[in-house]
Amino acid sequence: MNNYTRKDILRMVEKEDVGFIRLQFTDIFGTLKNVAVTTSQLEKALNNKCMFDGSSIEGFARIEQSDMYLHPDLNTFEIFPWRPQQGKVARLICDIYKPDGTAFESDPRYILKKVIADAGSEGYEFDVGPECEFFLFETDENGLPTTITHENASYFDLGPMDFGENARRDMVLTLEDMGFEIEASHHEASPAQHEIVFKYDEALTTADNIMTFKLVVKTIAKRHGLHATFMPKPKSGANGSGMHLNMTLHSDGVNIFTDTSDEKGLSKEAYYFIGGIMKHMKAITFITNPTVNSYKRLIPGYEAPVHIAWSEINRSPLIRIPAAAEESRVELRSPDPSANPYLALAVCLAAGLDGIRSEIMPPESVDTNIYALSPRERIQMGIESLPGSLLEAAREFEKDDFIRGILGKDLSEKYIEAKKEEYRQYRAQITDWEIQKYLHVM
Amino acid sequence: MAEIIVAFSNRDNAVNIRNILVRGGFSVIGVCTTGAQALQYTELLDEGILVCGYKLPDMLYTRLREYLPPEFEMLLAASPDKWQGESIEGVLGLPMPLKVYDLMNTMEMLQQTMDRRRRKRRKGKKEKNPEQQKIIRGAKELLMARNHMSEEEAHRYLQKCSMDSGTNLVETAQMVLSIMGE
Repeated sequence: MNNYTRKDILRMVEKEDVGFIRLQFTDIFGTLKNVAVTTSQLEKALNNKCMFDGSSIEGFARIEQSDMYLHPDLNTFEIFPWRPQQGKVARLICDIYKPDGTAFESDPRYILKKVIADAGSEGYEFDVGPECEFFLFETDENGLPTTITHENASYFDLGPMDFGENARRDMVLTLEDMGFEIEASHHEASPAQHEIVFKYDEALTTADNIMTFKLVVKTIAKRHGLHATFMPKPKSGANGSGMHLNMTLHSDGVNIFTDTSDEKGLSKEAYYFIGGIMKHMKAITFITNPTVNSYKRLIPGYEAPVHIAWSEINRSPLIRIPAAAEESRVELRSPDPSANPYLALAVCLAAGLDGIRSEIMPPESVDTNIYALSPRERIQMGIESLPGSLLEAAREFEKDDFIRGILGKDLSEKYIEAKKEEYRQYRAQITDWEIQKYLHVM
Repeated sequence: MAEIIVAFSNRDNAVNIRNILVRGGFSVIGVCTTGAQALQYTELLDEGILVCGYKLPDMLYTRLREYLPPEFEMLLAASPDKWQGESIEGVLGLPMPLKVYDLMNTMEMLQQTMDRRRRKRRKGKKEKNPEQQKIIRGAKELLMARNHMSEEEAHRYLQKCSMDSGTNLVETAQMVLSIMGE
């Protein structure tokens, strides 16, 4: 975690001959946005004087109250390694403030900071290690992305079967240049699918890192003639891309999820954390799986979770306790990379904290193959399913006052409206599948 | 011989140029119509030459040059009014309409440049005979003793002097020894 002062930033910009500063922030849907200023405007930016029209960013503001200010977080200063060496480009991730100097309540970064502060009031630090998967596809004759790949590689394969090996190596080196600690990178199970795992960190830093990671992956892919996509399920019949979240809580530097006297190595706080997440899971899904395409991934047969259950032994449950880990952690396997990482981490932490405060014990872990159970057996065991569509998830979110409260009234309403509209547009589409299935028989 | 990739937005142009080059005895590894495809071909090679047009559907030649690894040379075949006055490092221009003679000569020149570079790289690796190694070691030891440099710092200092003065490492080491010895 950097600890830069204003003077440090000014010095680095001059020493490294930085020409442009990108003031970055993330909108409510998890899309990275920025405004670029030249270094002549750096002092203005550091004085929190750079503003933008919030009404142009969906979900941010109405026209009447649209001025918004960017307050850079100095510790997020980074120079992009891939830009030309003369007139380098740097970035600062910003928080959004209103003209009256108060934080904008619907800024996703602010929402996460609030939950982190709440955890901090009880001495907890929330650490998250994400595992992000993505596809590298080819572009067509016009340079537009396709879902075509001529590769047929699979889990842990290497070149020449792995066509994306060079690009992935370049991504890892670039991320390391930007201060990431990369734990692993490999080819994933589906052709053209890859995974890069970076070390866990404090939640706000991790959310910032996920945004930076996606930018780097897309940029470097382009430089290798490929298109990177974080779409959850771009191709049917192959595994989709998830963003598993490995979560722990630390207190005074100690992992409070670990209890070696327990048969699963978990403390009661860990159990309660799991209980809290499971209690709010259906509403959480609206945030961690926020597109219609997300629900094409959450189906049986492709290692993605479908049912709300947890296990130490099973490889593909919703919540997994990785065995043989030095420190206990809780792995949530349903989120996908289309999620806004700030909101996803905020609702997971909030739900986990609710579990700890209310001492919610989760149901028994399910160590059998849930898919092998009949629907009746699942009901008898009390195993519920994740929402089956974006609309179902939106309705679950509407029912969960606690999770809605984390986003706040304004953002919740905007999010529900936007996502229901997305579902309506999706429902209006006539798909190839329908044509193939019905056209010749009706 | 360095492999060639040909990239033009008009496929016929690309194929024609490929045919001319092949008839001239050069080896063309790929013909493509987008910058992305050209970049994918470069993944297969350590070095090479890219012959391309001014504008591809997905990028201008300037962007492609930026993405191209530095070991690749770019031969830009475009009408002079498009690129004259723009001098980009690593790009050699050839005016369209192409004269076959000029294309062949330019390609021959590029091939020879790359050959020479490759040979020099190989030679440079071998050419550290014991006598020369002793000189370099001596200069490093002097810098470490007199100027309190670590071995790595001394090595970097010699390298930098060598690059700045355009002399090779051994000559630079000799110079350091002769000056420091005074």
